[in-house]
Amino acid sequence: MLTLLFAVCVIVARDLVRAVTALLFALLMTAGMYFALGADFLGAVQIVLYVGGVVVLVLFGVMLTRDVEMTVPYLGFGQFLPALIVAGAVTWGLWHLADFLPRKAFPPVHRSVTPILGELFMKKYIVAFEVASVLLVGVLIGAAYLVRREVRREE
Amino acid sequence: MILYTYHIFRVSAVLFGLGVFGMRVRRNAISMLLSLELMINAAALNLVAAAAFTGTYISGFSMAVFVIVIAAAEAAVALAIFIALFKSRRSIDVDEAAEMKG
Repeated sequence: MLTLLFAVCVIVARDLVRAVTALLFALLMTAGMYFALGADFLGAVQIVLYVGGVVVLVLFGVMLTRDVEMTVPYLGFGQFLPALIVAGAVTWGLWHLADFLPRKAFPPVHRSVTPILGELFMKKYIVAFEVASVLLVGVLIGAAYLVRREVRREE
Repeated sequence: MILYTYHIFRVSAVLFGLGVFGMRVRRNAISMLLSLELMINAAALNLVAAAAFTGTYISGFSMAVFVIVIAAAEAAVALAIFIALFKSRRSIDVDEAAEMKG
């Protein structure tokens, strides 16, 4: 499908900004697949968090760490062949793992699962939910601290 | 078009393989991060597909939400590290940051 095309672009693009844009579209396609599978809340989360958050973050990273040259060079064929072998083996294995599953169509989705999901997050999975939020806060503070300290040392 | 289970699983398999390939081929840290995002996406997609496939939507979906959250956190930390790395050595090539190697 189209997702894979964009994923190939992510790997192949020499220009990092182009790679990030291709990643954006690949993530959007994945969100579309979530919607098709009936995971409407997940699709929304994917768009808001990934397409809105992570891609912008990565773009900032690209801008801030850009050196004189705009493109990143490929490595030679010495790395290319083992990479192809490893990735090919992984893909082959996962591909044929899907053969063990019964081939049936997805059951049609009757109702949105978002209300159930929200209730679950506030009741059964409250600990995991809180841990995730604390983790995010810790990550943000830690990331800011990491970057900030380096700035001070440079001054 | 009817969506069959193995469609999604195979898409996610190829997505993961592409991530592995990119991880191995690219030596630029941000490119590697992008490949990592592809792999995490493949994993989350697999979770969602399995949950939709078995009909137990809720548990798989909530797990996938946490996967996405962890991926976002990991991207933030990785980018902070890259920026710190870039400030100290003007490059984010992972081969040049190998002096801690034993």
